[in-house]
Amino acid sequence: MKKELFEQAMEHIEDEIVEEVMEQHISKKQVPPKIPKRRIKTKALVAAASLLLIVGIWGMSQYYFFVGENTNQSIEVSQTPAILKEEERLPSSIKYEDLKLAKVTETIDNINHISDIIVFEDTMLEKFEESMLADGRSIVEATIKKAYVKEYEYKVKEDKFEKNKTGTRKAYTIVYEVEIDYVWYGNYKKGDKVIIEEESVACFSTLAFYLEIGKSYVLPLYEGKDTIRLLSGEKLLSGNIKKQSRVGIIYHPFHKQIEITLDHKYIAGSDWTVLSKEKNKAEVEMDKKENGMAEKFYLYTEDTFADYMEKVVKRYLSAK
Amino acid sequence: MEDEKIMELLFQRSDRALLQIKQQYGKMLDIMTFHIVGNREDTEECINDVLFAVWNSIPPNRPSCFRAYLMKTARNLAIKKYHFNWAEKRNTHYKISLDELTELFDDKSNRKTKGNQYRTVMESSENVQMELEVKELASIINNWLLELSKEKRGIFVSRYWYGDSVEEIAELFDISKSKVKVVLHRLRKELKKRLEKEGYM
Repeated sequence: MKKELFEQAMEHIEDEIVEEVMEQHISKKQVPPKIPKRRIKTKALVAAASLLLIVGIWGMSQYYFFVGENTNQSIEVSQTPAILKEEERLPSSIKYEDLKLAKVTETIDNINHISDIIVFEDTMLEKFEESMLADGRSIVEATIKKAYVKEYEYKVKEDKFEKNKTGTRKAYTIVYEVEIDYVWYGNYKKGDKVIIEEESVACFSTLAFYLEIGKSYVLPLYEGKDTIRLLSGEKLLSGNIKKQSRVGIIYHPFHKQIEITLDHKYIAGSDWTVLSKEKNKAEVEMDKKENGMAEKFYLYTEDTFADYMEKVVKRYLSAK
Repeated sequence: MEDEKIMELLFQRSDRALLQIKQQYGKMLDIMTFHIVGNREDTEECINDVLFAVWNSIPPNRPSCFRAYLMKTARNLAIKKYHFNWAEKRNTHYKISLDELTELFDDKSNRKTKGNQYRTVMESSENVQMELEVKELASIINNWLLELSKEKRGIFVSRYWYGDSVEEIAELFDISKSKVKVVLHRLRKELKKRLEKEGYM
């Protein structure tokens, strides 16, 4: 469509729509009243005093917010107005199968192979906290276009139990090819095609939450190493351990990533503890075995989620 | 003063009508025009042109919605000035908002154009064709807008018709800037889908 055509069409917006928007502007008093000059000095003094008071109160509140045992409490939860706008009101609960969900277009081949994994000694599974997002470089919304298991085979030398012992190792990663739909933070842009590769670590397939092809998620991304991780004491003798991508997903696959419905709502586990304090949410009823680490799942509107993300980005990412 | 009274003054050819318009709507005209043309000089020139246009068109016209008529006239004149004075080179609010809609535009003509074999058609026929396309597209956009909630409609029109910045829209609707950006992003996507469905993309 030509830009000129659109511009001309916009000239024909219906009068009632123009009137409605004008009303919204007028009723918000977009036009500030003129203040007589003699009152400006007094008003300026009052404004300065108020500002000092506000800064003082803010400073005290920041002290109590940030110097606390639980840093997750440092993000304010948005105050939901007592009377919610009709479109934003969510029921108290909803069944997962009743949500407008994207169809899974295909399953990932050989996903069960990943249960034959290498256990790293330092793999102690910490509980998910929003503060982990600070380890990342970006938070995006993306649709999974392709997903497959990649196998690496390589020879190593290791001296842990026997001098100069060699061995053949196999490692598996899961590769996602995604398309970016929206960027909350980071250097990507809409339409970018990104390859994400995650090694399988200490994870049995029943406890792993892989992303499904065809669905869209909120993905907090980080940049890791560009090679497969070797066990401590091992040295590579031969084989290719260079990964396709350094980009990984924070806390994948240990909890369900935030899923986005077709009508732009967000399903997140209760392990997003600050988010789950938001008042306007619906509990999503799903099979217990689907829940994994999170006790419950909640549905949020895009308004609530956008407000929350603004705070998250400010707190953990843009301050870096 | 009610709009009906302003129109009566215009019909009586009373100068008070223009004074009243300036008093009542001057600031809104100023803000919207400035959003489009991007500088004070052109804004003032535009507002004078608007008053002149209204004076000359009422009567004989008697618009049912005076405010909308006034704002549309102002907007049209401002956009003409925007294009004429190469305001595209400046980053006005209007230009920035149009840039956001880039994904809807392409340089190639689409289904409605006829191609080389019709290049010998007289210019008046092409203008008629263009007018029909504009009306059809306007109808699609209007229908789409009317299906939206009041808030979403307000956000879209404030941005892409009125030329408000994201900050101004956030303040207008008492919402965060993030939410404004998200809503605009979603709406552009939805509009694109609708236009694709109607064959305009």
